[in-house]
Amino acid sequence: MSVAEIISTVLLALGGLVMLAGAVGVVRFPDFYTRLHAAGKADTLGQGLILLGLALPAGLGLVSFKIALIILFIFVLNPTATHALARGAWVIGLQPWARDRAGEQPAEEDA
Amino acid sequence: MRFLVTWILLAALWIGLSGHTDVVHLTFGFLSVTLVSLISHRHLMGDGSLSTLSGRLLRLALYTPWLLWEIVLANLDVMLRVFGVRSIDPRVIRFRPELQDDFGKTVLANSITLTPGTVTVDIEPDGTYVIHALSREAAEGVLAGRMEGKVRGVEGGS
Repeated sequence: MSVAEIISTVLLALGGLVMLAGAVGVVRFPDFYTRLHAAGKADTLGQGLILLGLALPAGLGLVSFKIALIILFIFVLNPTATHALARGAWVIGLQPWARDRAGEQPAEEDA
Repeated sequence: MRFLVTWILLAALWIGLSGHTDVVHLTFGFLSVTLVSLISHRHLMGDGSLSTLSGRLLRLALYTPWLLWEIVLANLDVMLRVFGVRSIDPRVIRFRPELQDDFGKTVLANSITLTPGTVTVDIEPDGTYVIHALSREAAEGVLAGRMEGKVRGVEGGS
């Protein structure tokens, strides 16, 4: 394997690990807002790493240019979408889970 | 002028995405680019002057590496909390940054949301940010205002 291939493999593996952590977070975290942290953010870094890993073997060219654009768009779109979801939940009055109210039922996601 | 800059940017994007430089593709491309520029150059460029805009873009480009590093650090923190190595202690905080205009507010709100552990939930009409933080440390990180200072640097003296 060439150096580029090794780096690319490492990036892909790291990206996969970050995405996995995001998925586990969605299952483990107690309420809508905390799950949003896991789902929305891990994806930004995870996708960035995976796309970088894909761009590297392609070399400088049209393909890596397009991948760079995708990364850029994800970096703008992902926080916007996360914010839109959080604001939506906030506006309809969904209360965030807090540690001192841990005895209560966490708010349902579809509340 | 604004129209021209939009046109050049979009035309470069078209050529970059299509990869074809024959007459047919370029003709169709430039026609669509002209149409899109006519509709959207006011939205893309905003009301600021061209020098304000290019200065901002330059400072934004300098700010991005710092933000990327913050994202990596914060991602590690969230991963540790996901796997239960550190505990979560979510809370909602409010603070009001001293920023001048919509551009800076957008950059700060997006940066906060991009940084794992904190999400900008809402911006109230008086400019107060409502932020949901995953832990006490993440909340204190926002209140410490380091990111706000950096974003004020991006805004510049305009």
